[in-house]
Amino acid sequence: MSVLEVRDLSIRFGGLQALQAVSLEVNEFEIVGLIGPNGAGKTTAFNCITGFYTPHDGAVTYRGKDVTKTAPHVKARMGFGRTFQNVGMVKGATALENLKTAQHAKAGYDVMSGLLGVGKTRRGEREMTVRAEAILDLLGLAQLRDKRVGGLSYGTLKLLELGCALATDPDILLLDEPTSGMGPEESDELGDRLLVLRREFGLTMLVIEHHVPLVLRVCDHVYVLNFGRMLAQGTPLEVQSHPDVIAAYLGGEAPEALAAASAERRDDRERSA
Amino acid sequence: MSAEVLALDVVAPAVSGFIQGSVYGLLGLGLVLLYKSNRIFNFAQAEFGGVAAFVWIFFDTGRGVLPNLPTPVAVLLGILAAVLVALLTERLVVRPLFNAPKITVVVATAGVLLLLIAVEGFLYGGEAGSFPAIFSGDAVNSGAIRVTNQGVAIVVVLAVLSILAALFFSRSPFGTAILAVSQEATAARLVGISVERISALTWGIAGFLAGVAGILLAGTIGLAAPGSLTGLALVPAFTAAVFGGVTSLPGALVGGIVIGIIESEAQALIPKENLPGAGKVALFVALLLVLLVRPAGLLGKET
Amino acid sequence: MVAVDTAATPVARPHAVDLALRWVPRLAVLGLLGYLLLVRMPADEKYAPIYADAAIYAIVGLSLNIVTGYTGQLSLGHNGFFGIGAFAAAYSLTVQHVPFAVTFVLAGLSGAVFALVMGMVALRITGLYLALITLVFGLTLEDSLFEVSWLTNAGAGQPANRPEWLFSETRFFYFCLAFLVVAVYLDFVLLRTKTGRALLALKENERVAEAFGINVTAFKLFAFVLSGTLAGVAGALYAYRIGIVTASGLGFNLALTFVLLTVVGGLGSRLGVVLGGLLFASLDFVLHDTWVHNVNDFVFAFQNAPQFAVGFIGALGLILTIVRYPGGIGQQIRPLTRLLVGGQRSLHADDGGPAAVEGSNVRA
Repeated sequence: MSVLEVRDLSIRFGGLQALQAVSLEVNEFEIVGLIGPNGAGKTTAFNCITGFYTPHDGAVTYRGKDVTKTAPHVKARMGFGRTFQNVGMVKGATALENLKTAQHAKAGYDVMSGLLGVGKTRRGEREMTVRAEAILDLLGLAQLRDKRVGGLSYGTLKLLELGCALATDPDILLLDEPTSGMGPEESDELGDRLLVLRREFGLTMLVIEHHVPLVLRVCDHVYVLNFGRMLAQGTPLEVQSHPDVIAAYLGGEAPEALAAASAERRDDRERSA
Repeated sequence: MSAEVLALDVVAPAVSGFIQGSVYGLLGLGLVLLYKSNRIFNFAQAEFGGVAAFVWIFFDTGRGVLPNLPTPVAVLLGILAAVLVALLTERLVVRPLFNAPKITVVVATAGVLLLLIAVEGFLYGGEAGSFPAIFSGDAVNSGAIRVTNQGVAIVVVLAVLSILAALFFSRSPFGTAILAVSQEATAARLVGISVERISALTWGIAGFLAGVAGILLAGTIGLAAPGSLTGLALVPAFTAAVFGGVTSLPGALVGGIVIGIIESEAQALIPKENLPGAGKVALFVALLLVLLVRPAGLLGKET
Repeated sequence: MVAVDTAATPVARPHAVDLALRWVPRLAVLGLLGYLLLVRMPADEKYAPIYADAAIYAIVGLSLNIVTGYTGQLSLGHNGFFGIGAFAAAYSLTVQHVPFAVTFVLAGLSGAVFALVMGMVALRITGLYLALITLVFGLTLEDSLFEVSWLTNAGAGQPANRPEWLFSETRFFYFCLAFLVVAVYLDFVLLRTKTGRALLALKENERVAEAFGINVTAFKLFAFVLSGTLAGVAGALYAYRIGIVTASGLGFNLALTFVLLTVVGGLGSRLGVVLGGLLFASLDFVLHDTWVHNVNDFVFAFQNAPQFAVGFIGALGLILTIVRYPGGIGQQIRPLTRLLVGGQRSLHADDGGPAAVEGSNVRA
């Protein structure tokens, strides 16, 4: 049974058609890649799937349930864990605090008992700390426990952000360029980690990625977006040799693609402001 | 409703609202200019006018150790003082915070406002006095409707200043430079416009407008207590500016007059027993509606 | 158990010197506080009202800190919530003959209701415009609701008489102090639980907060409601402190004083805000007694105006703080608090401090 199903997703920003009838499917325990040139609409698709944008057309289904218009924080509680292209964490707080913030919905106490500071709250806090420390250990970041996140290197931030997404206790992980800012070795290592995470936690993943060796190694299935349309799909090997895909990557920096990229980025900025 | 009642209850407040609104428009104009050049709200704007009014009255009456000067000279000194205070604010408070969050700068201008009120208080000694009208006598007095010469002067000054402003911003190199900076600071810097100098100039102009508005309004309200200009005119001036979308100069002037009339009518038509401070409530509701329904203002285009 | 702990964290046993270094200043401050609270203040019937004011201001500072310091929304309308609380307490006690204790509940509730409305406005109107609309909200209340005849005893002011056991000014100060202690405790727990983390997260980036499953809308409203409740209760204390509530004194100056004491105290810094309250409550008195009489006569031949001296110093302090020390008192005393509390982990990371909280994240 598919965990996530996207049917005919379309969204416009002003006059720009950012996504045009995009469909994809992610099955249980699969790692699915979403690739495409800059400005192809990958992050826009993520934002539609996770509820940050409401698509003009199409449907998003999660385990048989229509979640097209469900708010992002509700989706997070349902089991959508996500990372952001430019790192989504609370920069002023420590790694530990970020991991505890990410456990918001699983804290085991409500706001009122939290304010009263009763025993349940303390137990909940202790458990959250334990879980956070376990995640730090798992990712080999234990030494960063009390470091302020803002000062860390980009690659470390991406890894820690993955930890935060894990801390939300997800069913499906949506990772937006998890290896950006990492060297080839670190990227390889991340690939191993994703495979381990799938095995250990029974996770399903949808990954936006540029690093081709990683995609080839970990993905079961790959979708290729170009100019907001689905260009091709198949196993990594099939996609790699697909003539349209090769053409798209060679002409990937065409003027239209750049325009689309900047429009998308502008829109992102407006929404996050 | 008989003609006389209509004149008394509706037209008379509209006339006084129009006059008062002209002053709001002048202050709103300064707020718009500062928003365009610095992207901030200046909470001290009305009190720049308060400083002008107090300096004028001190020299006009020869208070303390000060010489007793002829009224025109005293008025001029008052306006100069407002310009000076505005320039000092720009130099000592706003410019050091050029890269700070806008909210921080706004709180700082609120600090300047308190400082000015305190200085006025020191100088004045805390007891309320009175401001004389510069132009005495009535232009129209038909029983129900009365327009003072001061009121006429206010409207004339507003008209003259708005024409001057229009010419300044469309014709003079400084005026166009101010608008250029407000639209794209980095680009303006690249073509050799000094953003700092333009900022100072804008504050000077805003101070001048506030000074003129302050002296005219002080003569209309009469009561001279530290901070009274802010209490009376700050909120309407902001509402006027927001009405025009905070970036439109004509929008602020029209907004000022509209706000003046709304406030005055609400005050006149809603009995105090039913709703005290109806004028203020009307302003609050107007501001809230504009911000909720049309944040770009009624006349605003750019944001 | 002990063995496991040491095995997990192989930390050297603290040296006696370290222990002394850590505990001597703590004991000294505790001793000083104890002396002030238990020995000095009970003998100070004359100054007790100032201490009470300080406690009340500090509660409002904490309240404003929740909305502005933690969630980054500038409110200039807290005089409104404060005034509503004051009137609610006075009116329910004097006109409706509600029991004394219940008046505090009603004051907190009224503050909460009005804050909820402003919180809903803040969902749509943000940044500078929110600052503007909250300011106008407070000023409008001052001129309208606080002038309504039935509420204000036909304009003469609504009396709020303390029960007999609180007649003593010293005792009333301890009464206010108890409220402050509760407020400080609430703030402390707030920041150390998921609620505080949610507020800080949504302040920095609403989308990240949502991705973490935080209901941004609900927590923004929650921050306003909690803040309004605290301000309302502080208003009730103020009502009993002065004995009669009128619109004058609940206006523009008060609104700015609240912002001032919070910013000068240090946005995001609990202790800083409390000290800011103490500073602004005592400024009036200190200046009146010392500085004004000696200096003002000398500078100008004009009459004394001590109330303006307060504004003058306060405004200068605010401007200087913002321009030179954006972290406020909270940042200045940071080395001291770190020494006293020890190397304890806080929600704010160490190098950022209150300055970072106040800094770039406030949405404009």
